[in-house]
Amino acid sequence: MLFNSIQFAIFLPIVFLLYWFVFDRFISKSKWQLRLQNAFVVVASYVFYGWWDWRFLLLIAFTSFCSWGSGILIGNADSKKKAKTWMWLNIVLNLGILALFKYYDFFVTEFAEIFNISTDGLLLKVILPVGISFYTFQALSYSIDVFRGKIEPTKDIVAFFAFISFFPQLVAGPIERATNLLPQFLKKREFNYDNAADGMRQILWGLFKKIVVADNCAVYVDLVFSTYTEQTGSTLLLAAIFFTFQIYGDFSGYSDIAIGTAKLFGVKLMRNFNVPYFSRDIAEFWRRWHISLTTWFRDYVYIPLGGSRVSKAKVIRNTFIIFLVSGFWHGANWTFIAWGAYHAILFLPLILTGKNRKYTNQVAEGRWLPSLKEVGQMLLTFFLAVIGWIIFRAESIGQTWEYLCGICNRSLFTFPAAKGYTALGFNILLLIVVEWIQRDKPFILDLSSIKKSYLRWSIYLALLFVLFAFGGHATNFIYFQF
Amino acid sequence: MKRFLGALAIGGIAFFVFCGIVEYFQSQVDNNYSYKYWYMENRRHKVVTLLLGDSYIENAINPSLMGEGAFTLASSSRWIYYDDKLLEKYIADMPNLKQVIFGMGYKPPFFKSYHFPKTDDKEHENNEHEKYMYEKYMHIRYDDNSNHWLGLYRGFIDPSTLIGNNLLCDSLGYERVDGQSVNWQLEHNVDSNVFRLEYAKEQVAEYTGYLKDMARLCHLHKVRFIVITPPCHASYIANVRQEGLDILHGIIDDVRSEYPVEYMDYLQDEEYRADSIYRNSSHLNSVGADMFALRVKKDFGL
Repeated sequence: MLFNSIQFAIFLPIVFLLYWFVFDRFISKSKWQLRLQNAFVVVASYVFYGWWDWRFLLLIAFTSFCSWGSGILIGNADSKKKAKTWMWLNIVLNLGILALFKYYDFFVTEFAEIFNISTDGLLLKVILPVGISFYTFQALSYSIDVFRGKIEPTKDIVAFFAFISFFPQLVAGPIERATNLLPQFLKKREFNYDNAADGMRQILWGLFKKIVVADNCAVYVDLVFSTYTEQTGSTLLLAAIFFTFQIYGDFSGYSDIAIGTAKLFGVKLMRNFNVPYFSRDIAEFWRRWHISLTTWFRDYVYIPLGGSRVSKAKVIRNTFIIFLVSGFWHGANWTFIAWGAYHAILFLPLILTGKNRKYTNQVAEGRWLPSLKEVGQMLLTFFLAVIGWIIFRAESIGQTWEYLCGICNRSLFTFPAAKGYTALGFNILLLIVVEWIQRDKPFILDLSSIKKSYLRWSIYLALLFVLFAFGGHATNFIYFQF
Repeated sequence: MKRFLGALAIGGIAFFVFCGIVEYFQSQVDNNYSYKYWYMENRRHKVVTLLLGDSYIENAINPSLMGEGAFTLASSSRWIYYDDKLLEKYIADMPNLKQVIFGMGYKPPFFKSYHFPKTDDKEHENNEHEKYMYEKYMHIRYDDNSNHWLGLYRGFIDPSTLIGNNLLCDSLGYERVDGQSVNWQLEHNVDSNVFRLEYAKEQVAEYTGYLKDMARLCHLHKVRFIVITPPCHASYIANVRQEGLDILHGIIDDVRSEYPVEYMDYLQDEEYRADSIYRNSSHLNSVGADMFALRVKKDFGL
């Protein structure tokens, strides 16, 4: 079920009303109230997820059960060694499932090509379950955190299933930590007007980014990437820039809707994007882009490898590992690995010179406009991100190269073919301006500084109108495939 | 919770009121459909040559080069049902009408179309948009159950219309298109994979029925009925299939067996090979439209 679908527009109010009026209010005196409400979350989430394919439910239930069981076993283990064994068993099991569904065919194909053997009968050709990478990582974080003693193993299987399958963030994150999300399912949630209203605002902005920006960019991007050999350099560059906004609008839009929806249910999810295109260097970009995944890799891969407090050679190794794994997490294709390597190369000089944490504050803090230096830094970082997205979007390394060569010729200085895309340009500009003005807020549509309620409502109505009037064709979210 | 639900309710009401205002303003702004309707309601007695069909003809012929009294009632994405209904509505009251020129593209009669429900979503949406435009602006309903007058509800509000700029055609109903699209060699191309002979049987029969009715109306009112297949670019023709052409020509033979029809197939005409005359693979641009108008005028002695 897509967030930007009519099914979800019906599903959400029904679940919301049942959640608060039936499972919270009418049975509030029951000692089973919390468990029933969690069970309802699981059922609603499974309906939401099963809307794609009911067979996926078996997999997520299996993953949830194994991870829950491993938590109990780790907690009950009488030695550190046994606990470690249970943790590793759960990691191997979860990553094994992920590898089977996501990477098996890729490796078989690549090996077959290297050794020149036929793949007949060797390929599984199974459908990739939606969001498998997201919930697998969430499940992994639980057993690792239990082992590390950061969280007590829970015996409440219903709460645990709700933690893994909570529908707002199930298929495309944010990848929540058990330490943040699980405790919220172990205690009674309270409805809070301000939180719910903030949630609605966040949903509205998320829909704007997805429906107005990303879906409209997608039309142009798909068109140009499918015919890149015939396009001028300027058109190719424009398509790459549009894709840069498409993937941001698509993914951060999803995250905003997820976080906003969770707020309606009294659940707080972590922030996943923090105006990444206003970053002054690549290190800052990675602190602001897909934060839940970046911090996941930092905490569970990078730091255990020694992080940056090791020899320079190991820092280089660790940086490459984390970026390559991050790239590979996105899919079984060399382009994702190349994208990861590209970012590792950009990141390395910063970390080796100790400048990777130079910009931890918001750009132009306390000022309306950035300095010329900051503009230059942001444009350069944006340009580097655009190049990265070309690698990410291309279907092969060869296509990436041809695309980049296509940009770098005399036709780059011609006017791009963009007839009919003026409205999209204005909407991207609106996105940039609003995000710039609101960049230091906890979420973009936080209008608490506007005291006049009619002004706030005018903005909401104007945005709703823009959604209807400028909305593109509903498309799937890009990150569902990961 | 009461406060939250109350705020949602108030917001919802405000939004509906806002939508009502937008819908009203939208209906007050002229567009091609409303202009062509106005022209036919008020100026039809001046029309000598009436051009009907979809964008294949709307973009392909500049009516100002077709002699006195030419008018393009053709419109983008139109299913032949509406051509027949428009002709039926006006022909009896067009005293100067000498000829009707109908554009029969290669694709519409038998490819996956905007007409049948068993099509993909995008095409189906196109179909819904068409029903809305004809119902709201030309007062032709698709059928008795058709209810398509709310544009915003159906997502058909074009924001550019709110600043009053949606009348794209000139006073003769011609929408001039200069230059080429981003992806002009592939845009509107025939994908050989979507050729659906199983659809064709049902759809061709219906298409032929409407064409026959148009021929009948012209015959009845002593008006020449001319059918032309406009030229297409080589990239389009590369995907054209002989069995498709046979179906196309079969339709004309079928109509001719009952009513007089003058037909000319320009699809693969050698005169229209240059890239510069195409907006996309199957639509001429303004340069091509000027060339083709003069050619049709000459070939049919208009």
